[in-house]
Amino acid sequence: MSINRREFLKRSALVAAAAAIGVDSILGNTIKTIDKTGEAGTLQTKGSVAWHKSVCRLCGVGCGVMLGVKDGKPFGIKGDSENTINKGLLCVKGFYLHKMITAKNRLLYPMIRKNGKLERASWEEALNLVASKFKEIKEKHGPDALAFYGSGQAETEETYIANKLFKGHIGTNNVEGNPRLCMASAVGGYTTTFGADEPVGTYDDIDHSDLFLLIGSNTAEAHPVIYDRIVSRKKKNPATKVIIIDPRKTPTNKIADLHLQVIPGYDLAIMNAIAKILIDENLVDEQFIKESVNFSDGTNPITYDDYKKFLGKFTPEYAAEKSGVDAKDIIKAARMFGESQAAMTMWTMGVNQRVAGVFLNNLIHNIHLLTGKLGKPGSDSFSLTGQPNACGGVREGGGLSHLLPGHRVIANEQHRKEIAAIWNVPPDAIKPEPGKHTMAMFDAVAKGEIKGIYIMCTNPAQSLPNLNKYLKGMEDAFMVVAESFHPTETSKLAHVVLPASFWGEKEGVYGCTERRSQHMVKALNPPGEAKWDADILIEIATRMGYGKNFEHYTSAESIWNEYLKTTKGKDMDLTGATYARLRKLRGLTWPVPNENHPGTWHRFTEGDPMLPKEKAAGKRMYFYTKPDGKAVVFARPDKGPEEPVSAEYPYVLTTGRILEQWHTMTMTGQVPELLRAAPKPYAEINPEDAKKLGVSNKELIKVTTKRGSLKVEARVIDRPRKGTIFMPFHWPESLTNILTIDAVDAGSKEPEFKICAAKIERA
Amino acid sequence: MIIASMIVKTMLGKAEEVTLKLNKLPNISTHGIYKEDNIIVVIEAEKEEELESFAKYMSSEINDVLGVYPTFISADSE
Repeated sequence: MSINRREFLKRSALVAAAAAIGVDSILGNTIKTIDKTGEAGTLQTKGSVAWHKSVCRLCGVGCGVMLGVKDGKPFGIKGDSENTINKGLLCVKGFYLHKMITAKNRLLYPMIRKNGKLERASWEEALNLVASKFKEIKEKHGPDALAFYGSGQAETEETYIANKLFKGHIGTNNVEGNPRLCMASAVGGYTTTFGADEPVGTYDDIDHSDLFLLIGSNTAEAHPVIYDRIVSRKKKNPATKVIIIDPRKTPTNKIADLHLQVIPGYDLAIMNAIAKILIDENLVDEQFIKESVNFSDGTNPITYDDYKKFLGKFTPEYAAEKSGVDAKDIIKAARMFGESQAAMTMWTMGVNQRVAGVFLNNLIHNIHLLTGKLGKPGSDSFSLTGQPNACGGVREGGGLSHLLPGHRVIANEQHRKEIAAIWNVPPDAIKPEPGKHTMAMFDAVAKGEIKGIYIMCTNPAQSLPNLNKYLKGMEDAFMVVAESFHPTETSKLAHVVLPASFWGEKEGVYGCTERRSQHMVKALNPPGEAKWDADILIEIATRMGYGKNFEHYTSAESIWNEYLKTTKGKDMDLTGATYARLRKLRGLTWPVPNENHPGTWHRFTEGDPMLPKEKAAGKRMYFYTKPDGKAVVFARPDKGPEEPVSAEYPYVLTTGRILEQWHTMTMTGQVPELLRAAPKPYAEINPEDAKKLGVSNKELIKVTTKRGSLKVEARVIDRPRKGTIFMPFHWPESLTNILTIDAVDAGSKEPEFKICAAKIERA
Repeated sequence: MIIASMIVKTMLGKAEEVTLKLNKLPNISTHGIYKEDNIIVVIEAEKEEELESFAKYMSSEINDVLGVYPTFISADSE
């Protein structure tokens, strides 16, 4: 590399860094950007590198990234300093996105299993096989012998096509996606409490809050850019406080003012106790409660007084006994929350992946409704999402077995008719009964009841709980896997593997945690024979005889335009989020009902374009997705875990994520730098437990649950609570999910990945 | 040749101390402290391995670092 070239790159690096922190001068030298925004959302440099506006492929934060392309190949990555979410900052995973594109294990051509081995095949052969086999299964066993399992990482356009094919044409509602495993309880919480899914506010609330309650979330590692925004708020306003409720000490604790290190599974008692203290100490907003809140016991309406009686037993002392947390800290947390001017609660898998996940979501919303800390700057109950398009493609796009696009439900006849009309199918083409949820779907696969399944952009043979129960069935079924990488634990079991375009190689839209839809440009051609997932599905639809309703699509934009029709007039109206706007803007937060609308910060209050002004008159918030405009405070019992510890299994096993890896490592496992940073599986064990068991740091231990055993390295560290071990689930060579339990929340059907009983021995 | 930039964010009042520690690391140059607690860092490395675990090292080994946020990376074979 010449000095000039090196200096050019170094200068580019400095410009990107300076832009990320809003600085235009470094060491006295003015740094001027050399980029110019192009009409199609592409930034061009003076050299031969073209920088393309996109969205990070990994978690659900929705960070803007610029993909540099030179000579048709990925050149580099920089944070998008114009993006309102991350303002140019990235995390270490997003830093290596360009390396995932060029990974050695990119799948380049279709493969079909022949004589027990996956062999290269032509697209024609593979597509004909999938279409003919699916038709045969439908004819012999009915449409419900088929299923689709998608992803919160697929584009909205891809999920929309899959939904239309399976629900509208094949005739089965067995359409699911991996958000069932991570976000379903948040959906259940929002829909039961507010009448509609997704948060009231946006990330902008972080910049106005003076109290953050982080529950079941290691924000610093799982959502680093959100963590940075909290840190920035705390620095700007030193009076800002952070409360953490979590069984582990994590890097997020660096900014904690109070940590309630709860016994896993027993935080519902704490949340009810906080609600009781808020009421007892008159820290509630009685006017807001009167105007905008109903009460329910989960089955029937109750009165405010009934609710107070229900809370009677949830004294700080009771909650302390149940949760293992000091009663004084529970009181302190309640007062900090109640006395704050603006409070934001954020949570993720520690709340959702529980058999009481929906209940706990309700209890979080409860304290915001009781105090009126909602729908105003700095106040929100805000669920953090794990995947980049779980909200957009699956929750909004209706990619679950009980949903239809545009926040509609299968069970509603009018909803089915509306979608059938847009899909150009008869009104009764969509079945009235919801399909099988994820765990029921894979149970039916294991039992041979579902005989053909199409899996797109996800890896259930590693990510499902209690894996040993399901793997054989997946191997026996006619399983089609559309993936960018091979092998994965799932593609290894497939009958047909189809090579799919990856991030940067396809155009589409991602919708992130804060209701923001963002456009991603196609900057590269896919390698080998890989194709866009939507094109693959359209080819299969055509071969199955449904071509007339799929062949009119000419581009991702044409699919998006049809999808927009499903949102018109709904609470999540995206009509104004056209490709023309999205290509130029850094996304839009719905509702955005027309092309002049700037997007919405807070729903259900002034400024929400969908607010029925006459009905809402005189009220600060009107929840128009509820029949009488009132949200619901639920009296929920402090339900514990499905599998409490016992004499035989005395430890709580909890699973989760680490900074350098993401989910099943299909992507991050292709980056040597990330692999070296976190090379092998391990289990965190509390030093007191290690001493009791005679286990040393880095010694091999055997972790056993009722479902299986694994040998992993012990990491003796003061992070998990005594009596708890923590295992990341990333490494395919050591499948943590053979240990986890597949019991699900009764409402959301989300499994309890976070808690099961285990025993530990020296290996 | 790998060139990358990052923002290292520190506890309030600790940026200078952290900068001194960073300046001792190989292949790393710091380019000032901005807005009290943001250190601009550029890494120039011959091999990708030299970037390995940088963020992890910073976050875990230097107590006053609150976060390490990459902003740019390029890999150019010229």
